[in-house]
Amino acid sequence: VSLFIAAVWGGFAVGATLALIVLGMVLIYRATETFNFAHGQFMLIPAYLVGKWQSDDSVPFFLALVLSVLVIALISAALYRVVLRRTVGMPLFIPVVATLGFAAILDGLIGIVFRSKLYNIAVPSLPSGAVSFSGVRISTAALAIAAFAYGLGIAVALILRFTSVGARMRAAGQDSLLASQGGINVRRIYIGSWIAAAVLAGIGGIAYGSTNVVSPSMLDLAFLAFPALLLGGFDSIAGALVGGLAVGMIQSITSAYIGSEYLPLTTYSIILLVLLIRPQGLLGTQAVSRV
Amino acid sequence: MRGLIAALIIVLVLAVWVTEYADGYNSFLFVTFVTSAIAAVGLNILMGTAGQVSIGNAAFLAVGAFTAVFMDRAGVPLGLSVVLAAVVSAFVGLIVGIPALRIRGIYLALATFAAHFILLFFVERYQARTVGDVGFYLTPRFAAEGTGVGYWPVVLVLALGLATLVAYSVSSGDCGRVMRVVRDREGAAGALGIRVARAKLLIFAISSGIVGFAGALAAYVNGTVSATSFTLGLAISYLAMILIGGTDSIVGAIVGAGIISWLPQLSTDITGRIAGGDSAAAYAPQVSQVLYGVLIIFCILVAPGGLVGSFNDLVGRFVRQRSGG
Repeated sequence: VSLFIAAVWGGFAVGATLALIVLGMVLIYRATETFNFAHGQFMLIPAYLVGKWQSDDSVPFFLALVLSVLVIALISAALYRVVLRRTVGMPLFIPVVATLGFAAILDGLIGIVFRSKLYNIAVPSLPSGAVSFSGVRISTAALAIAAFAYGLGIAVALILRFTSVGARMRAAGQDSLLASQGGINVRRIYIGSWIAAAVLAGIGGIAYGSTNVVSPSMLDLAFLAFPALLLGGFDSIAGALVGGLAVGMIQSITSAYIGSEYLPLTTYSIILLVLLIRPQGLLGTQAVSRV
Repeated sequence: MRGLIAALIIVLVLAVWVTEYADGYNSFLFVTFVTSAIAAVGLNILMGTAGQVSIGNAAFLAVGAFTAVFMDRAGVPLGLSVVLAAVVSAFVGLIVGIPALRIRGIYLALATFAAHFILLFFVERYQARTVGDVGFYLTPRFAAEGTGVGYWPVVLVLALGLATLVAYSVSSGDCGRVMRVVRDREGAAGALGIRVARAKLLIFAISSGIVGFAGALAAYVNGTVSATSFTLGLAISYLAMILIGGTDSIVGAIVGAGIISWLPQLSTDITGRIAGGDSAAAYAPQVSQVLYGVLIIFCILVAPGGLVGSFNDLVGRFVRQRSGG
């Protein structure tokens, strides 16, 4: 039983970070109809910045948090403004390749600047100690961070559902021409989506780095966002949270019961299975047309 | 067509020159270029002609390479083994393409992304069970005649010619027109009676087959095969080759492969100039990663037709000026 509880907890914790990353990818898909393959770097760069500043003892944590998220927001906005906005009307695969190229640039720069070092992030003023569930000890700090990540995810989902900003975002995503005729500044909405996505990824990366270690292997976690994105449905905010949690669970249960070397098989088969059985995902809109 | 034949003849002349005069390192660069060019030609019919993107190129290279390893260990002769590697890769492509290509949109990108991890999982397991981390060692055919590279550059160029022939025959004539309608107007293609899903699957299988063929050849040429060398970054570098050379152009794919194969050498030189010899070796992979990322973005924004497209534009403008003036 304790193995099972440990696995469920592990899945819950990983799912928290995944949910934030996937939420950002849904925002980007709604704005630009592309998958952002640079999202892993969006998550890694802020985590590295905070880790480095903390280890140098140069910038206090909360300032580091704000600055690093600001940096990635600017990078994301630049990617949208300079590159992706100009790919409108090009073949569908061009934006995808553009984000891959951008990912290569960021990846190379991360390698040169941070030299694949490892950093720890310590979040101040978190409760220390641990709680125990039938023999499994869980640190309160990790629990608090996971709860915070889910809380943030749910808050963003509620904002998008119930405020006028959310309504405008949904309108711009569904029909940009009609939305702009209705007086919505579609471009501002799109660039806002990219910024929000980068902020969510950055916070997710810092949250993950504070309970684990900041290292280039965090990119593997970001890759897991793709099965989660597809499972939840590309354009579904609620699906992002569900998909993130589900993939987190599948991952940790695989590691606990089958063996961690089987992870690629169980997690990435989800993509092929969803495409085969239910291409719109669990909660996405059914806009998929077969040919 | 004339440009294509000219390009192949240039590569063949280079091959003869390399066989006769080049040193070990330069001939290694050359054979790397030719095997990459074969894969790039295969990818170009998918990306350029049919307008579908695959992120699974590294995985299909791995499928070809590991099929070759498996055949070689079973005692299958080289020629047959390379052909079988192409067939196996094409079949795997068919399996990966079935979930993705029946749906309209960019789902092939996601399916091949998944395939990258799943296929590498299988080849890693196979490698772990047979030889472990060091990877496989094939008798290097590359050094067939003592110290030299032997006749290999020429043989590889003939293989490139074969791949080009296959690519040319599917991207020209009726077949090519069908693919381009599917690329540009998927809905209209269906209305014209083209079986869109079948066309896309077919081209993806052929493309994967050619990429696997290149992987098998590279395995024999290098003599070592290890699962860790087939990374997502490698897959992205093939996308860069197509965009840099120019989409939907076989010559472009060959030119792009040449530039990207030469890039690691170039970036070692650049970092050596800027930061001195020691850090050059340490940072060269990262610098070349940045360089091909920048080239991808540059080609998308400034030169959508790639080098070949820009060259044709220039020639066209020059000819028009001459005839108009």
